[in-house]
Amino acid sequence: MKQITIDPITRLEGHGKIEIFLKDDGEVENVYFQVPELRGFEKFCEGRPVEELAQIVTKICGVCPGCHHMASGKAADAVYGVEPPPTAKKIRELFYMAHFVHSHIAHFYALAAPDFVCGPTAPAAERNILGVINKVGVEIGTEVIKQRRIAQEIQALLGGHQTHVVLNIPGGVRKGLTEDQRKDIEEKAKGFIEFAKFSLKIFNDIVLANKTYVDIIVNGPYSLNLHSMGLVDDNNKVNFYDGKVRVVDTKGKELYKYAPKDYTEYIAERVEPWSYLKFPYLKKIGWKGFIDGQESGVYHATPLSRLNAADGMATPLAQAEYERMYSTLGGKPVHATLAMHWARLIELLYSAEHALELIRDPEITGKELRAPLTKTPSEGVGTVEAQRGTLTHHYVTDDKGIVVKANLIVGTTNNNAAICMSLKKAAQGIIKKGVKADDGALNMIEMAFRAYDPCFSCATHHRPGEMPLILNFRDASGNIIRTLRRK
Amino acid sequence: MPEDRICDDKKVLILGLGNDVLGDEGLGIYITEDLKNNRVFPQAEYKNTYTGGLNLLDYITGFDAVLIIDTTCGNDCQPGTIHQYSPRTFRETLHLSSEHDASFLTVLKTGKKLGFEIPGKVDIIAIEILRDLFLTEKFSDNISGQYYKIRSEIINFIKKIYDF
Repeated sequence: MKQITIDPITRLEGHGKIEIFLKDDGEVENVYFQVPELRGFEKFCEGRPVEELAQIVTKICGVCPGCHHMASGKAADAVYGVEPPPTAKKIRELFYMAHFVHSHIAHFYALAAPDFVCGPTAPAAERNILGVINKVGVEIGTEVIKQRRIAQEIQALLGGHQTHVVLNIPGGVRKGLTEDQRKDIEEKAKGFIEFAKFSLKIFNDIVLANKTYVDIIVNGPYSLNLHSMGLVDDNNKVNFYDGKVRVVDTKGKELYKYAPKDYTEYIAERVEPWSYLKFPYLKKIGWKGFIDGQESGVYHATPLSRLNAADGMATPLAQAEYERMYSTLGGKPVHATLAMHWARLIELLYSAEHALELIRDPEITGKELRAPLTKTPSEGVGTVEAQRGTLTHHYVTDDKGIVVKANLIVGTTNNNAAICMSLKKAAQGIIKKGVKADDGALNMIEMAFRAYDPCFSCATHHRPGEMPLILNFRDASGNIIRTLRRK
Repeated sequence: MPEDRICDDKKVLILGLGNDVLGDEGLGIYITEDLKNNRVFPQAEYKNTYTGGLNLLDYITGFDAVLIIDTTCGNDCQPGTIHQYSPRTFRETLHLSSEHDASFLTVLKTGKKLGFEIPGKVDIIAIEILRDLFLTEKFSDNISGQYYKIRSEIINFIKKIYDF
């Protein structure tokens, strides 16, 4: 048996490694996506006042600090049994929409677009945001940087800092909005909508208008027949901040719809000896292994799964794009992994539209920012949709509010099994006997997990060097017989 | 004055990178805070962050010069060793190598390409650490014991390259 190692993976937050085991005939036998780091953030939370956690958990990750801040804030509300007043809730949501705008812009243009704009097999040195700008022009590049910066500025204004967020306190938020600030954000939200529409046009013109790319998305080795998870509102529309968790099966039929506090009845986590990252699955179905299909317990929690799990989008322009995507790709649910990029852009448009709705709501400048805490703290669950999937924080405290137990199921963890399976399918489709596994082939395998926008740790983890991608070919005895090194 | 030295009338940023809940990885932001609080170089502006990638554009744009203080590991040398890089000699450090976003060099090139006011002078100090990935708010004994030596070396480096 031969073994191929991709370590570390490019354009992935945190350190991950792909091990590809080949049969003697050169075909792929198995693929393991390993996360070799142990973070232990839950233990780090123990012994701290629960109201501190919303600030501390932003340091889990520099990529989605706002998501952890929001889930933590909601969990702390639940610990104290308090519901924030409408103004506080809307300020939180407004912050969160800006967070989504920023993150989805960064993912599409810096991580996803290089594969399509520059080409999946383009030289690695060109497959980055600079390569995208070289292709689409400086004017568009400037707008990309400008819009994501504006989104960051809104987060900083509302949250005290764009990454070290200090917005949430149990029962509400620390500060409100003035009318001048409201007017300023309203103009910026209008700009987000135009930019989101423009981004969807780019996707349409560059990806959907290219038959080769559409064929890769629809017929390439990138589809998995999985159950889909996402938060929905009372009308079963996509919601990032609040609502119930809805799971639909591989055919789109509702399996479960539950309040976040009941998540342990529906989700269990499996441990594999070869990875520190757990593998959540649908508890009532059970773990049936790394298989897809209706009988599998594996689900995904991604932009695409959110759209699959919902009956639509809560804003008009995003709803129109939602209908167009499903119409184009053959109806609901969609199982094409690379369609996550399209779903992400539809979510970008929804975030922009919803930000405008929120900033035009008269309650957004209200003065009641916090509900009083009157109950003894005990236990609470906070769930939001992170950009990378459903994010749950669960805290148990003593009667003084000191955390005695914490459990976090982060967005990417939901997708751990799905990512492994996507990689295996991509590798089996791309690495064939007699076909050279060159840089382009490796990138096309990486595209399988990049669609998930995976993120595994609190900061970048990399040894010095120019982001090498190492490919080791091993013989049946484990000896390296050939090494390819990408710099 | 050497050609690449920076005068008093230029805007200089000292940017600390790190994560203060990851022990020695927070060294860059700790030292930056130390220099700021003790007004060691009052001419400079100070910022801290643990993000990388395109976010760094928001921090560095508009300055004439930027000095980044970060950590690094795996260079086959003792913890506490100070590496000095410029964009020409750059090697990725722990927080300048976002795989989830653009790399630091790509960020600099992108900023220049788009006509942003990217600092004309960029220097990077990377302090070697042993990376154990334990969540802790304390430095290792090794780094704690060397802290004032490291601080002193960095101050001397700044004095050498800037005309403060």
